[in-house]
Amino acid sequence: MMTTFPYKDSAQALQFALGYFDRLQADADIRATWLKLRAIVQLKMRDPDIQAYVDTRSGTQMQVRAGVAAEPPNVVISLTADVFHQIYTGQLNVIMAFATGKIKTRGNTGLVMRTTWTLPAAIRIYREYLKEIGVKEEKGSKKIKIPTRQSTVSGERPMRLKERFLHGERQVCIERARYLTESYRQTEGQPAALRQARALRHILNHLTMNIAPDELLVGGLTGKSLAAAVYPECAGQRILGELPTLETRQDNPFHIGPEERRELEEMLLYWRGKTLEDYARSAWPPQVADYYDKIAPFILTEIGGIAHQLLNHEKVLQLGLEKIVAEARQRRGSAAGEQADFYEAVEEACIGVIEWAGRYAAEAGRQAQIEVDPQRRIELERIAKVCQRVPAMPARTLQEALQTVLFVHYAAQMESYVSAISPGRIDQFLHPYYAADLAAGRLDRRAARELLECFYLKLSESLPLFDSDATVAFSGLTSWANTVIGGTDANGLDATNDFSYLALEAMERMRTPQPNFGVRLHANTPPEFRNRVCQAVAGGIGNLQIFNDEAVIGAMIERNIPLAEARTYGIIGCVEPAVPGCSFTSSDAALFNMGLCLELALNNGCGRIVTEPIGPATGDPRSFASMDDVVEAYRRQVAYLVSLMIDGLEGLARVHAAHKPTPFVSAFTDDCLAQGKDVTAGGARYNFTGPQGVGTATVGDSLAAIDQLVFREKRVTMEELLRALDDDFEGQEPLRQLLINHAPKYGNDDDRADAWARLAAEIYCQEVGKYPTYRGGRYQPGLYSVTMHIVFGLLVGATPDGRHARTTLSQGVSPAHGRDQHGPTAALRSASKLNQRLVGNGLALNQRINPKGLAGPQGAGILDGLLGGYLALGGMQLQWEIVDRATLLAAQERPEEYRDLVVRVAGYSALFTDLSRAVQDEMINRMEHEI
Amino acid sequence: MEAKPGLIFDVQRFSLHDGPGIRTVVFFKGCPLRCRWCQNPEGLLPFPEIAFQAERCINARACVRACPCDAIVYPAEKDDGAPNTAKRIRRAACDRCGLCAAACPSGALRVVGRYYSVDELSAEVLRDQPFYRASGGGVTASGGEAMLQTKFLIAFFRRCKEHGIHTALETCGQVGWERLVGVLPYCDLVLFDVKAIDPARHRQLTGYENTLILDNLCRLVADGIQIIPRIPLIPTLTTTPQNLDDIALFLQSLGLTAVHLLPYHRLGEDKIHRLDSPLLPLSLPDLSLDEVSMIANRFRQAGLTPISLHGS
Repeated sequence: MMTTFPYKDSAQALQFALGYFDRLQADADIRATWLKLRAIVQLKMRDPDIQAYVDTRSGTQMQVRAGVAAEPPNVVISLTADVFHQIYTGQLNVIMAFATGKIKTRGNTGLVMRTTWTLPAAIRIYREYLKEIGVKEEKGSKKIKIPTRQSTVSGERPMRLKERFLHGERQVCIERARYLTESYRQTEGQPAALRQARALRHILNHLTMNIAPDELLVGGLTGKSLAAAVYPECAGQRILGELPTLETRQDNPFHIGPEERRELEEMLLYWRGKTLEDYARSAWPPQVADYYDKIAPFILTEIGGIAHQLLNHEKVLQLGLEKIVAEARQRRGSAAGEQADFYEAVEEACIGVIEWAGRYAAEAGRQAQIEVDPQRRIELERIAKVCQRVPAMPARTLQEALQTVLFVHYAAQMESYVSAISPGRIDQFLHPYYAADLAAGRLDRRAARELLECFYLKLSESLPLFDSDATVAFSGLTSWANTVIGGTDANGLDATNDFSYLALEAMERMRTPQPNFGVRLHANTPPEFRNRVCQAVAGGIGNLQIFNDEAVIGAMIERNIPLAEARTYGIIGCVEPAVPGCSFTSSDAALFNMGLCLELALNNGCGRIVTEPIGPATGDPRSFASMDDVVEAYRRQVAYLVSLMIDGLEGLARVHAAHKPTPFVSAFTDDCLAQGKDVTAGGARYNFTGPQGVGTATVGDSLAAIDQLVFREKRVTMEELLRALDDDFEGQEPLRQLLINHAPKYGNDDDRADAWARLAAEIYCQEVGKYPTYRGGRYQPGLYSVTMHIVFGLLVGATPDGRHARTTLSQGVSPAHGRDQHGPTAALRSASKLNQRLVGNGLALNQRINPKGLAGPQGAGILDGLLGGYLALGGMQLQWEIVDRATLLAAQERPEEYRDLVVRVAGYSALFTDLSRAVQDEMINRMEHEI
Repeated sequence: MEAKPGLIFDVQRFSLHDGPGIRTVVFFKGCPLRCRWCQNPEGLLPFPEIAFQAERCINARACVRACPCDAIVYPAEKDDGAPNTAKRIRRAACDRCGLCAAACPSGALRVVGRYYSVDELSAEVLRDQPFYRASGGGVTASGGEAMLQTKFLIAFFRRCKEHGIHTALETCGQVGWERLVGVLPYCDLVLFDVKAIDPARHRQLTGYENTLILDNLCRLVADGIQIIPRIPLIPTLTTTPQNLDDIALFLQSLGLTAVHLLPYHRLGEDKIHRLDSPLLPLSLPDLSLDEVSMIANRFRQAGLTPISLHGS
């Protein structure tokens, strides 16, 4: 029996309700949440009848008044007094009340939903209020049951956490920077490895503990619940000038308090001359520095920190960090010099992480003691126990395993950088703990899924702090924490398991921007799993990508990785394959502008936007006699600029090894301990550096147009073409239309164009593949663009494919916008013709399909057919965006209503509303295939 | 023996409504009927035509220079510089040589209809074979009326079968039985249009009575080939209760169960203006979802299994 509202008289009831609202206002969280609504919320209660409204339009005042608002409210909530009472005494779940029509709303219901995360506090306040005014909760009313872990209703907690994640304010947390700087001031003159390790330990010893309500898994990159850390030693200087506008900028604003801002400005002064960029500049030939500043030919992403690694979670889970510390200590005994420093740094870093977990154990214990809610107390006690054990010792349960992964993940982000520290094959290394829990009856499937959902949210909390340039180039406020499920084991046998399904299910429910979620498929993937994946996509899950084992493993073997290890690949960041646990692939080292190379080839080495010599003088194109000459000029431009990019990256690699080693991740990356070497010095078993080529379709289509119209049909002379490019087709629309409509285009399964796209990419891949790396490996190319195709496009004039100057280049290996006119199968066939074996660092193919045709049971079947065909053709990677243009336009116009819309951007997913305007526009303009 | 080339006006990949799975639909040019609602007016005449799409015209005037017959009409631009949307071709003077289309940079002028050899056409449809395999799809011959080019169709379907591709024929049925019989050995599925049962009404709607059509349908059923009847739902024309009940009764008496419903839409009517077409746009209101589902129910009550295509 549920209890009922204590008053029958309207006047009394109103007084009671207003008194309650006053108390709600006094709670800082609740007040802040309501103020953010900036709206009028009208409440209509029945039996007894009460009308009241809350007005927060000013954003600074929360007015609670009796009666009906004079101006039209943004939302009206109607419910009976009993339902009101039952919700605020915690007897009735508010979502259920909505679902069953016990609460009715008119207007913007989303506004109400945004306040529900404060409900636990509101309930507490309501019950205190009842007690205070002497209203007894009736005897015989259902006591709040303390549920066992097994019967926790999954769905509620993760959704509450997600609400907080979506609507919480993004802040800057300066603690990492503060403690790093403190430590660095104290360790001047010591070996770099030790300075790094000591700084990490110092940070972890001081970072504010943060256990949010409802959390089952704890930790974080910062001391705040939704904040970005600052990396003053990397690209932190770049944010310095932008600190004053950080809060008000249009894309991805961050809150930073004035005190913190001052402190940060002061810290950043200490780092002047000591950042990676400063060191790199002195290591580079002058020309590299010059080109680095111009951005046009390439950007060297490594300048922000390398990160980008598949961590060896399996090892930490199985051994625990204490064993690793012991091994390092033992090895130090017989080592000297740099090696001894390395081992000492490994110990120090690992101990720092163990101590950090210990602090969390203590904090959880402390909170448990003062917690009034008995259920939450049990949860906090469990958290304390888990943190006491891991990651120092081997994990035994799923919760311990997930907590281990998080601690290690955050610490790696803290040590190196936030980008693309990737958990990898979670269904493989977590399955044993899940299975053990099930077998022992510690957990049921639902509770396991709830933990996993909390895990996804925790991964999503790590935000990057970019300056305004990087905000466009790497749009979406994502940390690119990649996980893949499915695939094969080292013997080539199918490795799909129950946890793969569970991980997919959790992602389907949560739709969080992290992890960047992928599925490995191969010939023997169970059809029901493939179909399940297609169902998820057809259902509109916005963040899922597909990898074809055959193609990925083929490309890895091409790079001399043994078959057995290649079969166990995971994915880093966006789309970059690597062997987990033993690779250091710096997989997003740089991005390279292939579109510019074509421009230089057609302009004797000069740019049209950056109007100065950039590449070698490859001759006046008017003198080119055939396509061979055009291609040769392009090849020489690519070769020259690639060699400069490699110079830049080699300089950076040395700088990383000398100034920013990462002893913590080296502690468990094979074979660093055996070799006594940091990953940045080449301690990993497999070393690569991966720069990506951008503009495959733009260059391919341009070459195809020159071939078709200038050399074959002779409808256009080179002179006419070049003049039109110089003038950005001003007054030459007929010529531009001719280039668009009368020349073949990549993405239509037309070999006349696809062959040129293949060649354009191949030339880049071959040039990159020539070079060995500082760390003892090879350079390996990728073909994806993050969102740099927009930035690079700004620096490239008009191109012979009919593209206007300064507009976006093609994205990843996707066809240029609107150029694929023959449906998705033709586009997939075009992409599969690229020489994928050369693309060891992965490629990204986007395809947007209108969700309309995917409704109903046959939708998944259609996707399954598309996917099956693409796999059979040997395509490497694919991601579908199942969202229509109208939705994206609406989301751009009314972001508040679409706060949870997750979209595929380019090999990764993000909240649409976190993308910069330019990227949003670019997505809206993508070709949409109707079914 | 190589068949005479076939005249095709479109090859549409990734089609999902014309038979099972992912399909490539080949549109044959030329049709015996003149259904008033025809969705593919460019498929009616058995020769290549020139189409003009005014929205794409950028006034480059390349067509004027290219035309040897002086058949391009080019009224002065409007004052606001907006593209001139008047018809561009004087059909009486035009000999359909296609030089204007070849010259037109923006694709506003286009030749509709191209001759394919069996080799060319099969190479084109074979491209998507991996997708047919993965989805249980294949090739559908549509139109126009594919049966008008019987010899080419037989040669083409025979080639498809040699490659193990599922074949479907979409037909209006207005064709001699002896022709149909020749195709059947190479055809896995027939999508057969049924528009009206009353012969007079049928003539009114399509230009022909339906004696031959219904006779063919009965014979196909007797022959045991897989058939799915398709009923265009054209408001006021084919959706009268009498007509729908007649159709349902007739199909039921033949022992057919599955039936495709094709709700009217106006998309095809835009194309009428681009051509020298005898058709007039119907400009009827779309059928609502409710209306379609009521019609579907009517068929369901008659013991049939209706599937409504094209979304709404």
